[in-house]
Amino acid sequence: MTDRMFAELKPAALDELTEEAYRRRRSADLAHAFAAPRTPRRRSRRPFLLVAGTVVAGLAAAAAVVVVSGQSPAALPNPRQAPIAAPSETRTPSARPVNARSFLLAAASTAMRDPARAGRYWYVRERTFTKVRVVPSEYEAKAKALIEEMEKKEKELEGAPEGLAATKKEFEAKFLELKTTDLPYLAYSADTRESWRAMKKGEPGRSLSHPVTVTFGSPEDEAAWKAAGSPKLVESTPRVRLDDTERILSIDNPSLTLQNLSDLPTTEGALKGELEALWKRSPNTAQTDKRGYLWQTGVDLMTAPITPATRSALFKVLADQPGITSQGQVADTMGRTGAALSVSTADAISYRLIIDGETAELLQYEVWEKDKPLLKVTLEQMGWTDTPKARPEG
Amino acid sequence: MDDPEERFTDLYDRHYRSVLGYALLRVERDVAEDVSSETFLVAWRRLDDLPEPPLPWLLGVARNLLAKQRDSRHRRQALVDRIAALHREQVGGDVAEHVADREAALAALSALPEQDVEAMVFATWYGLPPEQAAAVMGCSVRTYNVRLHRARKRLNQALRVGYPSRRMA
Repeated sequence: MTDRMFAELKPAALDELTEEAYRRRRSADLAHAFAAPRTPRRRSRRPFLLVAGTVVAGLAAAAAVVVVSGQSPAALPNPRQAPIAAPSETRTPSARPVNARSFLLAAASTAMRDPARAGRYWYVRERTFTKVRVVPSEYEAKAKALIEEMEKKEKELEGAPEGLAATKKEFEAKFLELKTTDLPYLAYSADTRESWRAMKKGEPGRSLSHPVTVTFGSPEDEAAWKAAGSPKLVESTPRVRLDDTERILSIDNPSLTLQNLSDLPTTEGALKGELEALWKRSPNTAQTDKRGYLWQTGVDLMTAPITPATRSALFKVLADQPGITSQGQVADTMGRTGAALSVSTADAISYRLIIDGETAELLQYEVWEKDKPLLKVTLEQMGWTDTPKARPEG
Repeated sequence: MDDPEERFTDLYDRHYRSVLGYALLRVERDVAEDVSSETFLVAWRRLDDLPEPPLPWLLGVARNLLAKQRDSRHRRQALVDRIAALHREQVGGDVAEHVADREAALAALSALPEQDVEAMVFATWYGLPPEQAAAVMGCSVRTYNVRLHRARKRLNQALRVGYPSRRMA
């Protein structure tokens, strides 16, 4: 009677508060723990600690635990001892930046908990922000002039192979300059593409391209663009375009298909070996170093329907890569927050991934040149659908 | 589940809410969350040594960490005060009659020694058997049983004195 009445006294707010805090703190707590060293198993020393640190009441408590657990006393920690093991960690873990490795290990654990799903079409909706390097109309005009000039020179130099070679080189340099000279403002073209890849081999997929829009790095950039006469920065694509060409899953890994993803290894060691083998066979289209290849491939896999175990193994492989730094929590272009992990490759280029700590999902990946982003790809939605027209629920 | 990260994640997912729930009964929310985080950090360090079931051990660690809160801002509050405060945080849903009942029960509880109330919490809210609850509280099973018995008896008396009619109904 009294117990039942007392049970009713349990505040309902308690469940709400704990559930909310659980969701909010989980990823940081896990990552924080994984970053801390673990005490190695030292069973032989336990009885000494147990006796040395306790008074009679403590011994009684330890004895009580023995009854509960049925383990040998040597294996049991004494609750009274426990806090002594960690005297200094009293501040909130979520308040400090988590290191990249422990974040990825936490993501590996989280990924494991995902139920394996399947469907007929793998759907990805991504929005790609690319730095606008040239004004198309100006570029075309200048390129045309260059070509004309080159052709003229070539005619003049007919029969003089040495001069011809030098001229070609000169024009190549001029072209490169034309392509890479920075605009006086920072602008990005943003295009959204939806794709449905069929799980069944041979079945057509589908992709939709939405009209390209332009965004500026800052209001100052937009003002500079207006001052330059508001040139058109992207070729207009007024309508939604539809095509059923098969989109390759991973450009650097042509052997990977939607159908064979489930054969990928599910342990860290085996996946590492597989990625090594893939790297050796890779056409490496971006001409990047191995680190760059690994991150690009990692992104390709994270946006593909790999199994939870492979996803978990992938996070572990990445966690062991050197040179990853955590840049703390950032927002993606949709305003979703996640941990930003950055890794630099050769040529002042760095890759940055924004990963949701709660779901271990990739929210956005980016390519940076020094402190300016060249490319940002926001994974707006991913999931399975039953038809090549439907979008995943939720 | 040989992987320590996996094991720890599982431990966290199963018991975080219980540990935080207990800490919330002793201290304000932010401190309670920190104490829970630290409790699991300790568990991570001692992962190979955790007893089965681990919850009493976790609650014991949290209890000790709470006892160490020296900072006046974080000083733990009386258990009954915290329970009352948590009830006030609940928005709506309570009819007046229940509130009156609850206030009376809380008044009765506040007359009890702290540890007796805690014994009731472990027994009824956490459903811990005496040996586990005693382990959390760092006392003997006998002492725990005495506290629990005393708490039940006094609570019973107080309620009978305070509410003859309603409790009988």
